[in-house]
Amino acid sequence: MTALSLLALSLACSKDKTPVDADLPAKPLLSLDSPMPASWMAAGPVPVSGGSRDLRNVKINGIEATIGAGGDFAGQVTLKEGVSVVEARGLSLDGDELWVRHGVLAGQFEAPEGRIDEAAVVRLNQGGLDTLTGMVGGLLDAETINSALSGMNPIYEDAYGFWGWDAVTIAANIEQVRFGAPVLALEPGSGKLRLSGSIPSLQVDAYAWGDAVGIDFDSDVDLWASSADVSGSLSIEARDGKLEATLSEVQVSLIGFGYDTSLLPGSIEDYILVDTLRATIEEQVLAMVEEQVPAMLDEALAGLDISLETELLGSPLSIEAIFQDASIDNDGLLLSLGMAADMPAAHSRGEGVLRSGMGEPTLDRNADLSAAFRDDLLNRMLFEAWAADVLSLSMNTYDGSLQSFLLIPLRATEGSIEVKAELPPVLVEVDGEPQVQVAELMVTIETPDGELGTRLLIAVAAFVDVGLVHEDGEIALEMGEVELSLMVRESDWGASNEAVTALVEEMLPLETMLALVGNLSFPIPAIQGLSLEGVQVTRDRGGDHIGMTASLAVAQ
Amino acid sequence: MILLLGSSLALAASLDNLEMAGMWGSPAATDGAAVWWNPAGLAMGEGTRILIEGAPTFAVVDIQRADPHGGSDQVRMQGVVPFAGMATDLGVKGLGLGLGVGAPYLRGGEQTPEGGPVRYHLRQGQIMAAAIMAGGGYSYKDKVALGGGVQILRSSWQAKLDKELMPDLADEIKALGEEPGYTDADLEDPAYATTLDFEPLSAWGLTASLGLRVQPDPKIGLAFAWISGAKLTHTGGVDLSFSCPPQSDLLGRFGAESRGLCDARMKGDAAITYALPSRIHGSVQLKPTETLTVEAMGGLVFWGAHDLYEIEITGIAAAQPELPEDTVELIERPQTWARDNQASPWVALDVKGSIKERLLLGARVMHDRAAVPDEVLLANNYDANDTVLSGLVAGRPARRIELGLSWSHHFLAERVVGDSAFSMAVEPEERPDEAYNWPHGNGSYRGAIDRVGLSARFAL
Repeated sequence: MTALSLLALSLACSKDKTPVDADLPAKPLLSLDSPMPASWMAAGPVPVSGGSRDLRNVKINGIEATIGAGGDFAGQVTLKEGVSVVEARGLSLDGDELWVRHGVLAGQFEAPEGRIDEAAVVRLNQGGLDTLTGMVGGLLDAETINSALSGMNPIYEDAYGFWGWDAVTIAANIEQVRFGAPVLALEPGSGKLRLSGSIPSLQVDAYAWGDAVGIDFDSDVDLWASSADVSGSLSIEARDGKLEATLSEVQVSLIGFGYDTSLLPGSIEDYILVDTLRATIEEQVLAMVEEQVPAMLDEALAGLDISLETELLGSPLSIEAIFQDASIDNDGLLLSLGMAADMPAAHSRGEGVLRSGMGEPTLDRNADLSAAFRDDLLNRMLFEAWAADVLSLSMNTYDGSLQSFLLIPLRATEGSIEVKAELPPVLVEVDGEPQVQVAELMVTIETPDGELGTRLLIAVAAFVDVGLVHEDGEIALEMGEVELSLMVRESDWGASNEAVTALVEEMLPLETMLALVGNLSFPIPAIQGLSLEGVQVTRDRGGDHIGMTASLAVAQ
Repeated sequence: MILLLGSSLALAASLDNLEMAGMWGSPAATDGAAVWWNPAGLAMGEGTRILIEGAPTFAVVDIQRADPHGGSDQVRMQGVVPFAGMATDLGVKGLGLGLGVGAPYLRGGEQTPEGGPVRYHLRQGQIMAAAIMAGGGYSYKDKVALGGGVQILRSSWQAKLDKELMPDLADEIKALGEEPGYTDADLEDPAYATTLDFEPLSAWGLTASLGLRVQPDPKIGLAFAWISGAKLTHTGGVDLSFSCPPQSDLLGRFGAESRGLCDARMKGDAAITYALPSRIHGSVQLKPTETLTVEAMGGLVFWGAHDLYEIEITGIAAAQPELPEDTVELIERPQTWARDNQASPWVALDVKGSIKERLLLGARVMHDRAAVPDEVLLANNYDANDTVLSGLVAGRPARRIELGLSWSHHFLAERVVGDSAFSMAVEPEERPDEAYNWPHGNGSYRGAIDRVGLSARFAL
């Protein structure tokens, strides 16, 4: 019986039927509660907190966090100006890593309204002034002068006599002035530009008429000078957003003056006409310079106005610029411009435009022209583009806007990619080089025939080193090294976000996709009548500007 | 120690327990042991005879598994093997009827410690077919007896072992056009293992036996019996515990996660089907004196019938409705595991003699040839040429009661396997037939079994 009982016991002894699920250890969890994705924050130390379960440790951007009894963790991260990815990374009891990444934008922000003071600073050094005056000198052509003079004739009228009787009356018209190519020079000095120049081979064809003691006469009069030397002072001021050039202390001196008045009665020649005509010619040249040169300089300087309508990433962009200040030092002319950028389609979003520092740019004093563009300006443009949803992309294989090969790594042949930026891209300086940063770029990939799954929502943060080049009159930000930070937020791929993230990082040609955005480019001023040659775009040492140097040449 | 019936390594070839009823069991048995050994023997005795034995058994097998993935391992088990049988003539001369319970098929063991190199063959397991036996016979003038019996088998199959997931994962990754990057050296990584824990699956079976007993002379007896085989399908539950590839294996990790396999615990239904063999055995019994009995016996067990485990797992989708369909298909894919047993003969010589009226001494030497060829030897299929030396001391404290104490030691020949038919490979073309697509069994196997039989015999 004992054996029978034992056997019965054995047969009845089956395993515990407790459902397996009850034995399952809870899966480790990690959440990041603060900061939330796409937060706008101040730069500097900020608290970070979240929750965890069954993790050995939690690190916040690599620094061990304090975990409370309930799994809540807290720590701190120091945000630099620009985009940061706040990452909480936990190590599970099994040795697996869990991580959560939230992209944030840190810094000071200002409303995207009004002009940005000193958004651009332009310096015209001696070489540039020379080119400028060369262009102005070229504008002083004889035809223009003659046209101006024709309205001034007669340039001379006088009478001489006694007891009320005019013994001699005389008048003279300048019929034509001819001269060689004027040579002007501007030399910067303390607060003014010293103007000096020469109008070579001056030829004046005049016609004089009158009567002398009842006898009428008229005759051509030829005058000449080997040159008309000009000197003066030029001041330039910014007024009401525009530049005004004022010429003062102008002096004209005819060198090598000569004449041919052989057809005139001798007494008239000797005592009246010759001396008078010389002074008159000098006065006329003086008047011509005082009137024409400032106007021409105004016109040339006005060309420095870089207000324009252009496109950024295919959308219209309006850039308005005004001159805020002009000053002259011993090396040249320094102009400050206030600028505003606006995209008509932009709507109010976020907390504003990232403000860069207010450092002074270091402008080259040797190049013909040097300029510096404040990062604020570029960030305003990027903000406007973001606010106008220019950065929102939609591509699909159905209309051909997306190449199918890009989806092959996802085991799909068709689908769509939607990109939406939750934060504006910004340009900041990292290690002395410009970098375009963007976070919370939400990439939704739909692959209806995907073998792995049909939907992915990925939060992308990109840190793109940009090279500054000059192309077709624009400053182009060429993409260089790209550092990407991904976090799959949602998927129907059946795996954890960490696993899908790791796979996507490995498989998806995101850099290629990023390249679809194309290089950013910004127009640089096209100065009327002048062309920029040998443009070099560099990062200003001050850390807040993009610098540029160029040679100026008179446009052909 | 928890007393578990049948918790022992095999006591003879393959699953066999040749020591049914201990030293009292033989083809010529006429007491309660005859209900299993030879139902004709039931008719060769008088009155009612009862035999009860419990045999604490201690077994150990040391395995030195060869590389790759080799190392030392040990499988141990201890338990009590029971037998109880009764024979009676119900007062009718020439008639013999019998009832009994026992465990003619046994195998079991437990890795010590768990998780060693043979974990893909056996972490822990126990196979036992308990039989409720009934038989009857009739003798003609105590010269010739015929008998027949039936055995209702209640079979239990329980096992816990690891299953390699990496080749399946590699196939999945390749199907996606990616290169998994695994090599065969990566196999048997615990991170890619699934632990299958089969609850005690159970099956009912029926076998029959026929026996012949000839006693031409009081000093000579001949015995012969046949016991049929059976095919058993065990059913029950199974728990599956999946590991998870490391995160550094991006594709593998993703594959496991997306299939819902990462660190998953699942339940399912399992069915294990295999055949138990038929057998014949016989003996010549001599009684040269009143007090001495010599029995030469032997048999042949047709273990060739035990060629395969057919393993089916079902019910995964019902228990885990959230699982992807293809994952369910993967888990429920039917599998086989080669056993490839061969017919195994055994021989024994048993001597028993009464020293005094109330004291009996016995000795037995038995040799049982292994039924499992080298190529398919595994820790869960352990078998060896077995020479058993047994001794018995029995005394009669009362006229109708006999108490016995026996001890057996199994000298299990060392086995060295160098050409295991089992192998696994990452590359599909390098994999063997499915029944052999299991981790290799190369290595050396050494074992020993000690059995102590405590018996009581009653003559009423």
